Amino acid sequence: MNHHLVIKNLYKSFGNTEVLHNINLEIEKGLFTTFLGPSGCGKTTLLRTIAGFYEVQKGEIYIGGNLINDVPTHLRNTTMVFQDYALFPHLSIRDNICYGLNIKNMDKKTINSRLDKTVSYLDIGNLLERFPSQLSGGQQQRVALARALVMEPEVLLLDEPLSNLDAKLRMNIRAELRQLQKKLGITTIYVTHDQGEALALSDKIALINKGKILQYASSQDIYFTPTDEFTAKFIGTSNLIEGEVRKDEKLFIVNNEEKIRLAGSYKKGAGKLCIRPEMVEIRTEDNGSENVFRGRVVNYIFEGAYIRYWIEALGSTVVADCYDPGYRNILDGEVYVYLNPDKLHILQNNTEPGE
Amino acid sequence: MKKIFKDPILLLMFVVITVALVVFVIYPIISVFLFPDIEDYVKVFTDLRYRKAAFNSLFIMVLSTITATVFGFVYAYSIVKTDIPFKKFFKIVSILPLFSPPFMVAFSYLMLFGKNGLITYGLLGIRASIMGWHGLWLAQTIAFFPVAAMSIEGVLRSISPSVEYAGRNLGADGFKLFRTITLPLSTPGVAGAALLVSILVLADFGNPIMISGDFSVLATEAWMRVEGWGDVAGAAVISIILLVPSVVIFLFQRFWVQRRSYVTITGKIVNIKQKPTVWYARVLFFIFCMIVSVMILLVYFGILMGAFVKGWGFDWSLTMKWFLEVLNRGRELVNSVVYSVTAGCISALFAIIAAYLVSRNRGIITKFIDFASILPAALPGIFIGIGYSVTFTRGPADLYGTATIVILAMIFWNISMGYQTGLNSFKQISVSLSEAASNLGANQLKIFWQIEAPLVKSSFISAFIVSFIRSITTLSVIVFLATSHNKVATFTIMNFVSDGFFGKAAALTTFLLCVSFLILAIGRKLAGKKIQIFD
Repeated sequence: MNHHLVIKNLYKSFGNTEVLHNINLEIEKGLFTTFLGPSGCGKTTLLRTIAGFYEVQKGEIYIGGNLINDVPTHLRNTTMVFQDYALFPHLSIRDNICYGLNIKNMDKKTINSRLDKTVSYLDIGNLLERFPSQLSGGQQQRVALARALVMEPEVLLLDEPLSNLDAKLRMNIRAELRQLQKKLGITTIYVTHDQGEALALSDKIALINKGKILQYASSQDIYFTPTDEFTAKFIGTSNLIEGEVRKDEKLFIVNNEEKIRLAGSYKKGAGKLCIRPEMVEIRTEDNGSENVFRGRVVNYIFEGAYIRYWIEALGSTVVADCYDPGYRNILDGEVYVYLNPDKLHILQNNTEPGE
Repeated sequence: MKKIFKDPILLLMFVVITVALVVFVIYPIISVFLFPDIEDYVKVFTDLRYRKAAFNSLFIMVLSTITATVFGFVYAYSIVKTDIPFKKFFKIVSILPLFSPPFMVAFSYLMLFGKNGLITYGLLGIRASIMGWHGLWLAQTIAFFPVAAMSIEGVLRSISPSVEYAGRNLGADGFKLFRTITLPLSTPGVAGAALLVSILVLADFGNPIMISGDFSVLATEAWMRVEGWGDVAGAAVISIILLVPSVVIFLFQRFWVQRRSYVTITGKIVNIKQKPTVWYARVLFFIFCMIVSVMILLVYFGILMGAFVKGWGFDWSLTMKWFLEVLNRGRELVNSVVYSVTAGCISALFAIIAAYLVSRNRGIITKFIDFASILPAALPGIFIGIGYSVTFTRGPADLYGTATIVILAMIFWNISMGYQTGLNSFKQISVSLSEAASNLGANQLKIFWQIEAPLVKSSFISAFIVSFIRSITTLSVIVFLATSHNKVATFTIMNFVSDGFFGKAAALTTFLLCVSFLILAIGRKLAGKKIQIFD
């Protein structure tokens, strides 16, 4: 793989507070990578360090094989889309977009052709003569993206660019952004605290908490096989059931009695069984097969596309989503829960860096 | 700090600003303290004249501050919280004195209410004179209440009508509401305004020199010492006596009163109409505003009359001869304009750059720049004047009698206002704008000129106007620096008045006023939109 952006042993503190702890990342060219984590986890700091707004105190950052630690911000060509867009209020949209090209003293022809290209990608040709204050939030967002893209950056940095938009618009732009990034093939780093956004947009996600990268993997890996409890809880909803893997490496024991059959082998010792609500199957009767457990519905909510049940089973409360519920009656009272061995995943990290 | 050394332009800006502040703000202050000998300091306690002047200063400071603040409060309250007619007119009238030479009020009242006064003698036939402490009291009240009114107006506006409606809702109304809600909420702001006024009154030189006669105050006493006996050391001691309370009050106002202010509580600005005021209150407020406005307009009327009347007090026929005579001596007027425009430009530029550095960087040097840029606001004009005259008229940098020394004094006396304005507007400009520019390839210089400078253009213009007007109207700063080579109009006006040439003085004042208002109009035009001045 072609590692375009490489970060080695990066540390960063503000005063006595360490905000980034031994960050190591290798990001492939052309991929869409998301830094995901709760607010204050250090994801924005990492992004801004790549942009050059913060100095590298310890560690190295390479772009395309070149060490850029000491390259000043304005010579890096790692353009960024700011959370508040940071459009220059005194410049027209055209001048905003061309600002960076003009700084480079490019000739008019190149500038215009780049402008036309970018503008057509983002469909903002009719806005060029206006000023930022005359645009809606969504339009400003597009202009901010255009201003960054027109530079044809080595790495495109996006700092929660969708957070100021309303929910519907956010969904639309999400799809569009993903499509555009794939088309242009620009190495992109995206910062967000919204796990849904991260899953939808990213090729790879780096999950960050308390200044450390907990897991760096593809969206699917992060979702289906989180390596630690924090990741499992932060992304989507997870059922976590404590128990133990004993002699038989394919058997998970809960409460010293209930046996859960696993598809893969795990090492012996304590662990947590992890399964997503939509993978829990609810049955109305026990047909005697493996991994079926009795439970009782304690609560439910009707979400439209599915019904979410809270079921007391296996000594804890299991969340189960029942999709496509149709008009059938909502389940009540005693039910049975089936845990498909192929969909089970055991967390065996004894240390929990996330907590 | 490390970042600074990577950017040579930023480093250069830091060095220039810091060195200039050390040389032109800090060094003169220290010089004034070091200039007098021990005996000069001791004399303060033994010489009766000092004690009398100090007592008089204190006396008039208390009186004028109280009346100016009360006038300011009632005036501002009328404009903000009542529904009297002609509010806009009252508002504009109350701003006028801010754009006029501070000594003008005293000068005009002397013509109107003096021994040969148009009103006292001309209309009423009384041979009474306003000259003395009561005249000074009146002049300072009218001259400085606009400052209080302006500052209190801001405070009152920040009190949302919905708070008062809440008070009504709970059973208070009329005066009870005012006493329990409006007044307590505005108290810190009013106290701040009073302190601001007290500094201005204490440092006032123009009004007492013209109207107080034998009632000497510290500022005029300092001038007498230099002019009469060549006792610069004595004047320096007096200026120190003036400086200390000014700085103390200033710091107190800045760090204590402002912190207790309720204004910072921000919320949604609710646009609720004020409840109508009861008719008798309306009438009272209206009459009050009318009287005060008439008193202000009388000032301008007196000056204009004086400029066109042949012989004040005995021959009321009209003439143009004063204007022609003043034009023949146009050099002082030209000096005034040239010095003030130069000082205004440099001062505004300097202030904006200092504000830029302070708002975008941190560290000990930044703290120093912040402190030294605000400090001049607390310095009485005569302190600056004496400071420059003892500092820059000796040794290697002998600027005695040059235009440079006057311009420098004007520049650094006025940086504080521009600095504050600049700081506010840089705070409003999101840091991410300059980061975005840097991210797109702009270096510090380009960021400053292409992104931040255009955004602070209107602050720059308002900083220029304020410092221009303060420069062209100041008397206290230049009075100790003036020689026959670098005289400015205000100095000449003072001499005309003290020699009894009211006509010439009035004509020259009229010219000054015209220039001030012209520059103000041009500035507003350039700024393109409404700009805040003297806020």
